[in-house]
Amino acid sequence: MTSTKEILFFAQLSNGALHRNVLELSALSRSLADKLGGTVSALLVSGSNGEVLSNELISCGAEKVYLVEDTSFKQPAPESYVQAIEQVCRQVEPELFLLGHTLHGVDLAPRLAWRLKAPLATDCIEFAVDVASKKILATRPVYGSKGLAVMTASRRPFIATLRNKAISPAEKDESRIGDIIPIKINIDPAQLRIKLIDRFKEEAIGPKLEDAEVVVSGGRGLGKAENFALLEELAKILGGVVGGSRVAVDNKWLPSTRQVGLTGTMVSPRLYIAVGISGATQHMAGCSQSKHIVAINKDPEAPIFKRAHFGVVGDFKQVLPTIIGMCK
Amino acid sequence: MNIIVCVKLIPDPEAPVQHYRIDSSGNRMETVQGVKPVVSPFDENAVEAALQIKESHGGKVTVLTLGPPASQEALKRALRMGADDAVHIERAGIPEPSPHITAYLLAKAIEKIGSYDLVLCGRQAGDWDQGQVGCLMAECLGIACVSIVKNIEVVGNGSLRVQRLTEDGYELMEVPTPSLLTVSNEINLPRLTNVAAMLKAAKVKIPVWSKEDIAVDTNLYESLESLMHIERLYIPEVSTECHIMMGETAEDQAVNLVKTLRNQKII
Amino acid sequence: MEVIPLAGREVFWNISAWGNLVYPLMAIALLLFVWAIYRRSLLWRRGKAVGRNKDDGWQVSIRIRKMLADVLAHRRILREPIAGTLHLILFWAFLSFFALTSADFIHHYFFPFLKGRIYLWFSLIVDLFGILALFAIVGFAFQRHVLKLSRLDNRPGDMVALLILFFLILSGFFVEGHRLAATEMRETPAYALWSVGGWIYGRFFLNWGAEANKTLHRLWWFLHLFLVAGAGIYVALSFSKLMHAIVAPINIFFRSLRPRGELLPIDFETAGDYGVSRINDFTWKQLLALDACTRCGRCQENCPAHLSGKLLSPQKIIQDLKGEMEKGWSLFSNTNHNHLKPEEGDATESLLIGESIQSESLWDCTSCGACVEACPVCVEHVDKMIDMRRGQVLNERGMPQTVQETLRSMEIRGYPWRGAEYLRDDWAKEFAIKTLAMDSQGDWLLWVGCTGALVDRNMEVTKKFAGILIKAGVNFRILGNEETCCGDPARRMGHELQFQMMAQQNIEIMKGYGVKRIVTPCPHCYNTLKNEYPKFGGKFEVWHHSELLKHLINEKQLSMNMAEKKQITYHDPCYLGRYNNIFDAPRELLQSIPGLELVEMKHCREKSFCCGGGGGHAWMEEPVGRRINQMRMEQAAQTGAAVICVACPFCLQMMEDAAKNLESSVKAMDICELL
Repeated sequence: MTSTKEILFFAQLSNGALHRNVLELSALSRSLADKLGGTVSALLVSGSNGEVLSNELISCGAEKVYLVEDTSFKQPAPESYVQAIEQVCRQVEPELFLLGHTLHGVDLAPRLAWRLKAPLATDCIEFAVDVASKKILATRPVYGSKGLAVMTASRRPFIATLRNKAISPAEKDESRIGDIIPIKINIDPAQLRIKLIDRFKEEAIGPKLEDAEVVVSGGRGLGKAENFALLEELAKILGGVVGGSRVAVDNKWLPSTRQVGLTGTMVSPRLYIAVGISGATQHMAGCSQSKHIVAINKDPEAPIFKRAHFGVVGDFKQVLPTIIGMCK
Repeated sequence: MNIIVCVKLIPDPEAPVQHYRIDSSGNRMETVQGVKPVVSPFDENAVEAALQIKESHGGKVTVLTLGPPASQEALKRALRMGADDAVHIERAGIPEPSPHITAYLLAKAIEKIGSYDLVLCGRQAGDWDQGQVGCLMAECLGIACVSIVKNIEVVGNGSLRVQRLTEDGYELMEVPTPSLLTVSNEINLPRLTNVAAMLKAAKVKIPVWSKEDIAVDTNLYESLESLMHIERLYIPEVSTECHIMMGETAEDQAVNLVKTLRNQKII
Repeated sequence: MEVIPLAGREVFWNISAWGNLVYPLMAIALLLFVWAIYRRSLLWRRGKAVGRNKDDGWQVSIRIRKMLADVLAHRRILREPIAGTLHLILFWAFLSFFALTSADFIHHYFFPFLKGRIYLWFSLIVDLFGILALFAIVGFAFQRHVLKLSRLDNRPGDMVALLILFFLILSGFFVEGHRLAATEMRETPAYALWSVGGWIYGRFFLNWGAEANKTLHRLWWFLHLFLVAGAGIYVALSFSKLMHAIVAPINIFFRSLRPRGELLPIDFETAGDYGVSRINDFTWKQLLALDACTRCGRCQENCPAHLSGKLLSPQKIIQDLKGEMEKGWSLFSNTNHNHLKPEEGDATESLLIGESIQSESLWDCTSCGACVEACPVCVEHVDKMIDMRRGQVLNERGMPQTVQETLRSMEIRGYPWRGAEYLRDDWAKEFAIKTLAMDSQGDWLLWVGCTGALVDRNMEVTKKFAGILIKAGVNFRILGNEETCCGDPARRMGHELQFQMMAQQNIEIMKGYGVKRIVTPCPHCYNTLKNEYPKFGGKFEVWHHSELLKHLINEKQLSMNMAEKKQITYHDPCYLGRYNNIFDAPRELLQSIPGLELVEMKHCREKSFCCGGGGGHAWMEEPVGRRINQMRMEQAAQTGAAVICVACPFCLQMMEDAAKNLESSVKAMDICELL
C-alpha cells in the first residue's frame, strides 16, 4: 500500500481517438493531485495504437499511463472493459478514479463500483479538497438539479464521473514526459455475454450539439414537428444547431440525440435560444452553462425567464420570422 | 417471460424548486405538504416496457420497491397499470443515498422471488439522479446488463435484442436472459390505469420483507454501509437578471432582441 | 227558385269498382311499412340496454308533451326560420291530406258530415296547404341546387323524395281539377272556387267538355292512387329518408331528459366492456338516433371544429355510424341481421375508430353541444363522441399523445396542468380564508377548480372573487390542498375510470365536512358538481359565481361603484349556457354595473360559439385549420366592444391567447373582474 495519492483517470476513446473529456479529466486530476501532494495517471484500454495514444495522454498531463492493449478491446464493450479497469484499479489502488460522465462512462462506473465495493459519485460538477481532513469533496446536482450535494468517500478508490464541460480543459504540452506502463489483463470469457450486432448513427448535419456555438432549442410550446422548421432556419442563419427539451423528444419531434438536459446532452454554446421551453430544472441543467440564454415563450410566468439573460414574451410564430428576417 | 421491475417513489420532479426543502435529517430533499410524491418517471417507462413484453409474449410482471411504508404507492400504481404482483422491502435506518445498499437489498429480494427472465429499471431515479443501482444490481446478481435502452425486442432463443442509446445514435445488441436492462424515456409513453388492472390490484396482497427475510449477508452489508457521506446538501440561490424585451407587438420585441444581441456582440 | 244543392262531393265519384283497389294497395303499403320498421328495429335492438337510473323513471307525460311541441309545433325545426317554416307547411299539408282522406272515409262509410260549409272550409284549407306545400318543395329544391347550402350533402334519394312529394300533391290537384271541370265548375261555380287548387288547374280544361274531363279524372285518380301506394312501397323498401317521418318522432320521444351536461356513467363492476369500440356497443336508443338523422346538416353548420376547418363533421360522424349499423342489412335478407345478437364474421363487428370514423375527427370535438342544440330530431351527438372516446381510452386503443399525457397527469398529480408552479392554496395566502379542515362551519364552499388555483391569469380571478365574497360578508370556506380536480377533463377525454375515482374521493371529502352549498367560478366544475356528482352520491346545491354575485347585489350585500364607461360583449360559456341554461344571470349582473354597455355578438346565448377549450382541448394541440378561439375573438371584435366578458377559466385562457395572437385590442376579463 503506497502512501502517495494517485489520481487515476480513464482515457475514453471516441472513434479511435482520445475523447474530448480527457483534457478536462486531466486538468481536474492535476488540480486535485497538487492539493493532495499526489500524482496524475491515466488508464488507457485500447484495441490498437496504444503507444501513440499513451504519448498523447502524457502530453495531456498524465505522469503515468497504464496501458491495456489487445485487439479484443477494439469495441468499447463494458463487459471486457470493466474487467480490465477492475484489475488495474486493484493493482494501482488509486485514491480517486475519474471517468467522464458519458453514456460509456455511466455504464462502466457502477459495474466497477460493485466489483471493488467502492463508493461512486456520478455526474459531479466540482471537486475540492478539504483542508483539514484532506478528503476529496465531490459536488453533484441532485433532485433534477434543484439541489447540490457535497459528498465524501469513506474508502478508496473513490470512483467519480465528471460532467462534460464542467471543468476547463488542460493545455496540451508536447514537452511533457511520463511513463507508459503496460498491464496484462486476464479476461474471463464467461463474463462476456452481450453481443454487439450493429451501430446506427443518426443523420447529423453540421456540428454536434455539444460542440455548437449556437443552439436553438424547442420545447412543448412548439406544438408540432413542423414548427421546428423555423428553428432549423434560424439555426442555419446563426451557424448553429437545433436541440430540444425532453418533451420534444418524447413527442418524436426530434431524435433523442438532440435532447438537451440532465439525461440528454450538456451544451455550453455562446448563445442558447430556448423557444417554447418552460424552464424545468432538468432541462436547465443541460443548458445553464451557456454564455447567453435567450428565452422566447408566450407565458410571462414561465420559470425560464428566471434563468435566462434575455427574454421575449410572445408567440414564437411571430417572433422567430422577424428575427430570421433581420438576420438574413 | 417473467419480468421484475424495480420502482421508486420520489418527490415530484416536476414540482418547482420553491416547493422543495431540505428535510430535518439534512440528508434528503422533500417537497412541501400538498405536493404528492410520484413514481420516478424512468421507472414508469420500465413498467410499461415490461407490460408490453407481457402482452406480446406472455408471462408475469412483478414490481419491487425498497422504501418506507409510503413507497407502496409506487407498487400500487404499477399494479393499476397492469403488473401482476408486488413486493415491498422495508427500508428502515438506511441513510440516503446508498446505491450499493439499495442494489444489494433489491438483488437479494430478486433472488428470493426467483425464476425471472428479465429485470427492468429506470436509467436513473428522478430524485438523486445517480443512475447506479441498475448496473450495481446486475453485477451483484451476476447477470448480463445493458443500460440506457430505448427499445427491447424478444427474439426466439431466450435472448433479447436491445437498442442502447449512444451520443450519436444507438447500438443494437443481443443479450441472453436472464439479464437486467435500464430504460430511458425514449422507449415508450407509459399507459393509463385500466379497469381490469384496478379490479385485480384491489385483491393483491403486498408482502413486506425485511433484511432478515431476504438472507442478507451481514458482513457484506456492513461493508457497504456508509460508503459515501453527505457533507452538505443545499438548494443554491439562482438569480439571473433577465432583460425582457419591450415592444408593442411580438414583432417589435423581436426587433429589439436582435438589436440588443447585436449591440452586445452576441450575434 | 232554383235549389242550390249542398256543397259536397261523392266519394268514389266516377270511379268504378276498381276503385276498391285502394284498400289492398294501401294495405300492402302499410304492411311493408310495418315490416320495414320491424326489420329496422332489429338493428336498433342489437344495441345495449340503456339502464335507466331508478330516480329518473320514464316520465311519459313529459316525453309526450315535448314530442308534441317538437313534432306538431316544430319548435326546434323553426330555429332555422325559413327552412323551418317551409317544413312546417309541408308537414301540416300532409297532415291535412291525411285528415281529408280520413274524413272522406268516415263520410262515405259512417257519417256523411262532409257537406255544406264544413266541406267548403275543409276543401279550402287543405287546398291552400297543398299550394303552399308545392311552393315549399320548390323552396327545398332551391336550397339544395341553387343556393347549394353547404350543410346539405345532396344524394339522389333527396331529389327523388322531393319529386315524389311534389307529384303526389300535384296529381291530387289534377284529380280535383278534372272533377271540378266536369261537375262543380259547370253546375255550382261558386262552390268550385273553394277548392282553389283544383279550380286553378281545372280552368284550363273547362272547354274540353265534361266527358273528356271525366276520363282524365279517372286516369289521374288511379295514377294518384298508384303514386301514393308506390311511394309508400318505395319508402318502405328503400328505407328512404322519408322514413324520418316515423323514426324522428320516436327518437324525439326517447330523447334524454337528463340535464344536458350529464353523461351517463359506466358501472365498472358489472360492465363487460367499456365505452364504444364497435357499432353494437351503443345503446339501442343511440342506434335509433342514427336513423332519425335526416342529414339536415345543422349540426355541422354550428360545429366550431367544422367551421374552423377541422376534419370533424358531426353530420358525417352520424351518417358514418349509420352506415356501419346498416352494413349488410336489407328488408328481406336471411343472412345478416335476422338475429338480435351479432355473430362471428358479422360485418358490424369491426372497430369504429380507424375504420369508419377517423381518429382525428373523434378528438377534434370540443363537446360544446352546439350540434345537440341545433338538431331538430334530438340525435344527441356528444354522448356518442364521448362513448367512442371511452372505447379508445378504457380499452387502451390509443389516443393523441397530449391526451395521454394530460390523463396521466390527472392520475398522478390530480390535476391536468403540467408544470404547475403553485400549490392549490397559494392564491389564498394573501387572504385569511379558513379551510374546511380548520373550521367546517361555513355556509358556502368556494370550489376553486384546477385552473383557478394553478394558472396565473386565472388565479387573479379567484383572488378577485374571493375578495368580493369577503367584502360582502359571505361565510365561506375552501378545501385548500384537499381539493383535487372535479374530474371533468378526464370524463370528457374518455377516462371514465379516473373520473369516477376522483368524483368519489371528492364527494367523500365534502360529505365528511357536511358541505351543502358550493359556489364555483368554473362552469365545468359547476356542471360536474351539479349534474354528474348526484349519481355518485354527491347531492349538493351548486351555484355559478355569476349567479351568486347577482344574488348578492339583489340582496344589497354588495354595492356597485360607477365603472368607467365601456362597451363590453358577453361570451356565453358552453357549459354554463347550452349545458345549463344560464344565460340571464350573467347578463343581468353586467347590466346592473353602471357604466357598462352590453352589446351582443351574433352567436350568443344558445348559439354561442365555443372558445375551443372544452372536451380536453385546453391541453391538446390544434394543428389543423384556423384556431377556434381566434374565430371567436374576431366575432367579439366585430361588435366594437372593448372587453369580451367571460365566465369560465378556459374561455379566459382561450380569449387571452387569441387576443395575443391576433394582436387584438379587445381585452378578455372574467365577469367578476368587471365589478
